[in-house]
Amino acid sequence: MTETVVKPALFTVLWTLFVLAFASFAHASDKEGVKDLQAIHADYVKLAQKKDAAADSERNKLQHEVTSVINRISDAKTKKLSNSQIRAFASVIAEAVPRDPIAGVIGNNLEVMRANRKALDREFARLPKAKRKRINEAIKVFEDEEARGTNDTNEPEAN
Amino acid sequence: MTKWLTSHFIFRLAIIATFAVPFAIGVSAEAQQRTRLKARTDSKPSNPFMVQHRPVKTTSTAKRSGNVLNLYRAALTAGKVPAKPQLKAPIMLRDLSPEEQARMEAFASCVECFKNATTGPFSFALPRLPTAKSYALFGEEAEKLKKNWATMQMLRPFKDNFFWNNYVLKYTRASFSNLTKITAEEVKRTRHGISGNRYKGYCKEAVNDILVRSGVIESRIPGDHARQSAPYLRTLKDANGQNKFIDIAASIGHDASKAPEGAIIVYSGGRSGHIEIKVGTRYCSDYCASEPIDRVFTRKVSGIFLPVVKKVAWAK
Repeated sequence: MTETVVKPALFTVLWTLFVLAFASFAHASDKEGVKDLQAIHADYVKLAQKKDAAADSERNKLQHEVTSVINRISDAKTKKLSNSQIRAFASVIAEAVPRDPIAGVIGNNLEVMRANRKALDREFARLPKAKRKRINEAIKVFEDEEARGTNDTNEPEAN
Repeated sequence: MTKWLTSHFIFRLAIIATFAVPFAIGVSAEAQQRTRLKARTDSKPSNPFMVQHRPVKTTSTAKRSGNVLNLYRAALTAGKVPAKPQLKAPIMLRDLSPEEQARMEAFASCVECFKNATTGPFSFALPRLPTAKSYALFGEEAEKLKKNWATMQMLRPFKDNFFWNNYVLKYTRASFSNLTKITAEEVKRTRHGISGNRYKGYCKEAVNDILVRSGVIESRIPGDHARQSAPYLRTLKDANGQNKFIDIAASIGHDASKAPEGAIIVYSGGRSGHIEIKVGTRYCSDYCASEPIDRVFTRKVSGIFLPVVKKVAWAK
């Protein structure tokens, strides 16, 4: 009985647990930060109609929250995000950028956006044309600024 | 039969484990996420890496120097300390009539005038206030120090009299009303209006347009980068060799949000830095935003400039 039932049963259970442990970890890391981004997106939607300075300040805080979440969840070396993370990030960008004259979400996460450009473009393609145009323009502005050379690094600074 | 049963049993067990275990893990992960979200909405620090935006706690002056203030108050009530002297308010340019203004002779910039003005507030060269280290004293020494400190407060000009900044700001604002009035429209007429209210990377060009159009400067600020305008504005002089702009960044703690209306704020950081003008409560260059750029990106205020009146002297 021990040989025929208990041992194989134990082996199977332990083996499945062993396999699933890794599978569940992979599952968790793929979804990491998605809920946070979704919550931030919901906050952005709440603020959508407000135009006063307090709302702008709130948007700015949310923008910083997005940056901290993205920094946390993106791969340390490759800066890659999973599909679900990209979906959540793209929806936040789509909500944040049209309301923000500086487009801080893009400016502060340019490196991660560049690493996931193809996947993000796929998500942006689903957006309305005006939003897509605004987002692409903002990305271009920051990339141009980054590409622009510095010809005066030894300029005297105040303070 | 037994063999079939056992194999079937193991197979079923494997299937249950395959579906039930991840489900259980998923449920627990979701519950964790939910609690984390709840914590986030309750503004509790759920994640140590997430930035929590909260007002910075500052100890008020009264709280910090509570003992001394209490001593002072007690002395006041006992009638030992002379009451606060009533000082004359300084004369502002806007308070003077055009005739009085016309009588003024040109010899110095407003700041120096104010220093030499007889109508200005009196001030003493007092020794430095005891530092925080001094509070560690106790016993007789501490009492003595506190007593002296309170006396020194009597001699020291009151906080109300420290209106040097206020004076300069009001003064320049009154004399350069052109800048504060025109900018809101000018901003829209220039780069701001070209493709909407958004950051386009032409902040310096836009500010240059505004400054030249409003007549604050004759020629455009040279250089490719916005951060280059700080040293330029700092050293820009008029025909009499007087500074055209005053840098008030140090006096307001390099805080762009404290800048007065019409101030030109220059930032360093990033490739090009940034430059913007405070128009009303907004910060404008090729776009207008309700917050200065250092709240959004890692930029550092390198100068907050206000135009200085060319020639001023006190009539009285």
